[in-house]
Amino acid sequence: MEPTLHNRTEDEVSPLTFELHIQAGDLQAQWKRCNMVANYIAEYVSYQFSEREWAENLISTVTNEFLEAVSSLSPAEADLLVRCRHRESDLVIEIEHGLRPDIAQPYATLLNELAHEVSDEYYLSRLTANRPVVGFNQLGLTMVAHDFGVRIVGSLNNAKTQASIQVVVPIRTPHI
Amino acid sequence: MKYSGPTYSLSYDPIDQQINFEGTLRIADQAETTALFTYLTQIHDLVQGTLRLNFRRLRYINAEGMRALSLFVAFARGRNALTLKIIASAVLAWSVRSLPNLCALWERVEFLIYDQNFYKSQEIVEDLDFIPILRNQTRILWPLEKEVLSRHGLARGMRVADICCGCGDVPLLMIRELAPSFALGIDHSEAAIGYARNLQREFNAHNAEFQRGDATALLIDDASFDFVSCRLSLQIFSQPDLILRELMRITKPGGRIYVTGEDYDLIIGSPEEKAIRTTYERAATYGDELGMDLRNGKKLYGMLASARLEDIRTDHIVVDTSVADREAFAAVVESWRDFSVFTIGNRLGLHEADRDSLLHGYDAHLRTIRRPHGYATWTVIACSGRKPLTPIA
Repeated sequence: MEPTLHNRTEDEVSPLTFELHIQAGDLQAQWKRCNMVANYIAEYVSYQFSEREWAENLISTVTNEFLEAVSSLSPAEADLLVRCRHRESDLVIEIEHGLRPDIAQPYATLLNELAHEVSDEYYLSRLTANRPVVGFNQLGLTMVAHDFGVRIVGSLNNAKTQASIQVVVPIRTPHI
Repeated sequence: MKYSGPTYSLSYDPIDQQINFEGTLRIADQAETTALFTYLTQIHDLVQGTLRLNFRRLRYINAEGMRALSLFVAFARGRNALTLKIIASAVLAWSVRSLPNLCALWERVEFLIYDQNFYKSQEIVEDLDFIPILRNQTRILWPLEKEVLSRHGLARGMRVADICCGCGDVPLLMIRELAPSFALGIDHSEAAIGYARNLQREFNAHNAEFQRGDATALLIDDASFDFVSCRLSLQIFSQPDLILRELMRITKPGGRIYVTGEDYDLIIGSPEEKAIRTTYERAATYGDELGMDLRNGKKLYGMLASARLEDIRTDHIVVDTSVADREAFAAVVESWRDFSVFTIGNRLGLHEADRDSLLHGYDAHLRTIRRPHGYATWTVIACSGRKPLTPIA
């Protein structure tokens, strides 16, 4: 894992870019590493937001779901790239990852569905369904799109061996 | 009954019929889901009426954790014997955003955010307008309280937590003048914590941290601080014992818990003694109506003794016109006057005559403070105790 920092001068004034390169096999070997990496990213990046605790909790939750999902889609030897950018009140997370050939089509279908608004009905049907035994787990990405207003845009390369996803996480405290 | 997973624990409290979730519930596989589901269904069958699921100390969950909860809701719906009450924390984004989905699965699932309106005066105390009051109070209290904190055990190199730290000025002053190794300030007010972080930059204090948190469900490890303070805050909560329990939990065995409280019975002045006393008695009564106990200073000793703390020490921190800067003292009373007459007055819908009466008393107090030979006091009671080395039964 190689963290890289760019353009960081003052927490409150400079937009930060933060990159991590992780081998998918590391996460597959120890699932709890998804949690560790998500918390690490969240704790670091949340300093950019005024509502820090809210941001940290949100970023960790969203990042963990992506790490859990994409690490299971990737060949073990493939690299995952996670890049975070602070943009006004949003956090933009870009993820590049390898893709197992057997999973490319259902993954493309899911990304296409998540590009539109996720209805309550759609999300609840996934939430209450049994955990899939084969294939990949689609609940996590559906949950972050539904519960956290996350916008997900993704594309696969021509050979369908590599995917790029952009995730925009709105960091706002709801009126509660 | 307790169930522990790799990074989380669930414990059942039969008195409240409540399952408390703690830690990070990021489920990895089907076996974990099954174990969690089995535990929940066992508890289900022990309960009558309402089963509370308390998530206020569960820092994170993943989608598989939510799936396990949805399975449990489906189970409860099938039995149709209980109502489920889901308790979230406003501090935890996931709990506010994800848990309400469970209500859509069954009409007998209720959802509440515990720390939303959890004390009556929350909205006004957590407002940015409250910060000048805190700053003014610190200006006259700190020179005296600094000595008291030392007498009560705060010493160089300690790890200190200040719970309900408000705008953070006191933890930063502790760092500057009493040299703990680290100070953590926690408050529920987003405005106060934002202010504290700015102040921290001005103080250039690198060994401090400020976090937003719920004082009755702190996301802090057990026994992690040498000295834990909670100043002028227990008085605004209707259930201060819930906070004291958390203060005790995070204090190391042998460490000290330090609390302070106001006592409006001890605010006196002369001349104009009667007008001053009448006003503070009235203000305390209005405080009662907002769930505050502005006479709680005298109760702190009993609270700590009942909690079986050892080596209890008490002090009166008396701000009086013989030692305090009169204008700084007057600034405090002016901020109390505005808060009491206008903020609380508006909240309680006080009549014009009642407001005028309050104003009259505060103005009398201000005249006394500013009169060259006038004498006035504000007394804060400080009380601390040592957490026993062996667990309290």
